[in-house]
Amino acid sequence: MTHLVMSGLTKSFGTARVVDGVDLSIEEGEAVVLLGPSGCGKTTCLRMIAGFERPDAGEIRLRDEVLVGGRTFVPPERRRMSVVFQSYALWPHLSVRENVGYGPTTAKVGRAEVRRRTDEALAMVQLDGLADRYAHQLSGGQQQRVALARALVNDPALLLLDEPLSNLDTRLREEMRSEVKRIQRSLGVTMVYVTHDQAEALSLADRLVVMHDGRIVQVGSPEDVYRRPRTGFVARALGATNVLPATVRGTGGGSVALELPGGVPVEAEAPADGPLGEGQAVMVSVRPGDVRLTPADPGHASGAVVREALFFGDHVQYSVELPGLAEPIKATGPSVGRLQPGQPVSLGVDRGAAAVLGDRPGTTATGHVPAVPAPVPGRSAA
Amino acid sequence: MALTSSAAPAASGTDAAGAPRDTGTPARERRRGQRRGTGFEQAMRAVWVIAIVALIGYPVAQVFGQSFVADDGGFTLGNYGLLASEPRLVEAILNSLWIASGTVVGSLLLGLPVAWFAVRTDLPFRRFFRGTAVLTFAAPSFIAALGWILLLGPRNGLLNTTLMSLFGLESAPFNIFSPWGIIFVLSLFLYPLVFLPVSAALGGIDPALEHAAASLGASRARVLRTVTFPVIAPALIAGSILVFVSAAVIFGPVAILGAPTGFQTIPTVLLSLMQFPPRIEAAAVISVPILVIIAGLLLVQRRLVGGKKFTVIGGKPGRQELTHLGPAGRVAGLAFCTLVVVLSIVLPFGILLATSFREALGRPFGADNFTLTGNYEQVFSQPLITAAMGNSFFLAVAATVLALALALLASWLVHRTKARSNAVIAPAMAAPLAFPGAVLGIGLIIAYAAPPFGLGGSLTILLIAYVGSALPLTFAYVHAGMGQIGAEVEEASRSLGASWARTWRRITVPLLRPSLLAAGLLNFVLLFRELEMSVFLYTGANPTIATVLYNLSNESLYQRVGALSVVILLINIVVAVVAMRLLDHRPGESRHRRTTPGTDPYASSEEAA
Repeated sequence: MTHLVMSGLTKSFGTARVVDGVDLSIEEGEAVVLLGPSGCGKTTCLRMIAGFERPDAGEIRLRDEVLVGGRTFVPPERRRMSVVFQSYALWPHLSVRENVGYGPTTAKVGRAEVRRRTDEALAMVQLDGLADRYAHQLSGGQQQRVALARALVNDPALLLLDEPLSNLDTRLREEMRSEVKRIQRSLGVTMVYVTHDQAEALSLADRLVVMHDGRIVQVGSPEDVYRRPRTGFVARALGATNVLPATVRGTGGGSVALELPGGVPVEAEAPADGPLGEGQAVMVSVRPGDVRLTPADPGHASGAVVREALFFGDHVQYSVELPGLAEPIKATGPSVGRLQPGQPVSLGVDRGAAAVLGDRPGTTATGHVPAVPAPVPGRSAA
Repeated sequence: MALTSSAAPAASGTDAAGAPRDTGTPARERRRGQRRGTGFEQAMRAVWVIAIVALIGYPVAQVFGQSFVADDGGFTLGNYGLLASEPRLVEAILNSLWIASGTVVGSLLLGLPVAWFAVRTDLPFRRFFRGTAVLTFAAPSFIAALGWILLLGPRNGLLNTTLMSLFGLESAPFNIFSPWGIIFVLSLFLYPLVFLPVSAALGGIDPALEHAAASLGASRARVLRTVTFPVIAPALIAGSILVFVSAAVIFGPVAILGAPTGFQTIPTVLLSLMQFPPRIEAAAVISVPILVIIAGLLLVQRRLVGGKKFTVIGGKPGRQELTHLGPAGRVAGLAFCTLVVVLSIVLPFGILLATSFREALGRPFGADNFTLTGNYEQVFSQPLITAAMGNSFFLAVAATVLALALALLASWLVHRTKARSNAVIAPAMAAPLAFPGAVLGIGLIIAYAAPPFGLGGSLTILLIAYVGSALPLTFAYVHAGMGQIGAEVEEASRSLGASWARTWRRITVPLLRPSLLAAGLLNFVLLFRELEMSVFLYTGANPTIATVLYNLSNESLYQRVGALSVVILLINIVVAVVAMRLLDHRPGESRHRRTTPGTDPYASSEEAA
């Protein structure tokens, strides 16, 4: 069942339009992640859902209720949206128990009920023993758990998380990531999660929304967006990749045969937006992990040579120079039998691992191309 | 696609505006949206504007206006001719400049050595000397002046009579009732204005700067002259400007010490102009140039303090090597710093305390001239004084509360709303600093004393004056405190179902508690003994504690002056101590300590609900 609908959301600060016509609907129980670089409007979207910012235009509806739109504006305290902030925003003058119990106490549910729900929420985030401490007596990870418990205790219609893990160190972040996932699953709470971290985005999302310059550029399941990025921008947002020019050599059977400079053959899934003609120049995205390097004799066909090999223990990162390309190709390989710089290699790409991008050749070097508008419902309404 | 149809009303409204979606309409929508979204905000902004205009803007504008009003009510520049035709006005201005310049020199002579000893040397007790400098500033200067009359009065001053009998002198060696006496007392009171910024600058110099110069072969004197002094110069000049401005327009000590010889400066001549029959246009004419000059000087001071040119100050404070004083240096340093403390605090307030136990002023100190409670009983048996106590207490509390409310409102506007006009708020809240109490007092009389307001001599006009003068300090504290509280802390509360009002009550105000307490208590101390404006607004109907004390000293009733001074100082000290205790802990920590495992933490949450 459709839970939350945003349509035509627009917001400017001064002359800068931070959110520019965002349309998105979220199903009940779904975990939606908004991914994008800083300044792409994802946090502003979240703040408009929470009611902290008022959109200049557009509408947000929760089930049948208009939260904002036209003359309506429901204030944050009547939206039942719990927010987990990047800074945690724990109240330093209240204990953990008082922090978590704030929502129920405000709702005047009665002492016993406040206590029961607070205990339950603290148990959920495994902080049972620390109820009488104050925020400054907790570690960063514990503070994060308190913030989560405080948000969950209210049984929110929507749980909103704004880069909640970015203040934690790497190990804690991984631990909290699975914790958030577990809690979200077990409670079945609808969640909107804002992040610029691809690992968080891919692992937490049921549906991934990539934003750029205030617009949604692609929506889909994490695998779908990862495997079939529509633009170089999306491909890069989800991790290291090579965006390369290629020529169409043949189509058929739902796949496209392509050729990279140096005659390296690549096979990709046929893009949905339209058929490709033979000989057409396109851009493709190839992940470093999908590039296979095999030693070759000097003077082999493609002329590719390893320029740099960085050892990372479990893998090696290569930078391979290919004649006809301005930038070297990134590739990763096993740490056993690593190749040395200067080694001529022949390149191969795993079948179906490449993705044909919507970007026109010659414009993608920076990734800041006009995004292909995502076909989202409601956009035509205006 | 159900959403498309239900979204239609909003969308069609947009269409009805008749502009294509991608061009005009979003901007139009935005403007409308902001207007809608900020109804409350705009109301609050209007409240703030009205309050500031009523407290400061309108009275000050009245002063300017009156200086151009002719006898027949028309516009004239002729009033300024008074400056030429009345020599005593010019004389008062020159006297003010003379007192101010002398006090700057005196403050530098006291403040610079104390700052250097306290910050850059291994002088024993240097923290104590730092602390007393701050304390001096909080002590009332006109009470200190009263103390100095008892010490250096030409006829009965204790120090004078002692010196006369010691050295067999014919006449008193010192006369406090002179410009020199005024400069002496003002320097002892205002030197912290030099000491504080200079010691901060000295403490903030990156030692690497001085080491670099020394490593290039510069002698210690050369390092001081070429590196240290230029770096602290802005702080020194800024502090001197504050001393100059304060000394030029201060009323209390000048009035008390200058009156016997008829020595008048700007504020005292203003007071005599306002006596019956009041000559408001003359008072306005003398006020306007003063306001302009002070505003100019304060702008220069601001620039020096905030200027980017001297940002070398920074580095790693606290890691400087302290200059090691030899035995001679230690003795000299201790002697100097102790002398400053004795002169600025111990002697003037000590003699008042002693005098408050004297039965008769004419006879020397001694067991037969001792009364423990006599003078205090006399003070408290006077209905005028008890009424004044009540008035001052009420005014200080009410003005503090109102100033806090206004400061909260202003800092909320600055920190939580986005309007271009917000840039005006902070300067407006600091503006009263630029208006001498005398000028603000006159402005309030012109604005509100006569009908239609008819507030002359009332407690209300005093309250208006006190609130206005309390704004700069209150706002500085609250604004800083508010800056520490992220908006997210409030948003978290809103998203958990708490209304705006509940969020303020349960989150914002408790977190601001230290700032509110500090500002409130400091204001109370300063307003409780306010003289500068009160003396202008006092018409005999509603005495305050300071005006009563001022009148007692005019009548030379020094035992009662001593007793009443001691009472005021005691109240000051008690409030200051309470303030320090209350402020000396972090929120949460103390609660935690007090919360024993058995107590129910919900008790406090429930009472607010």
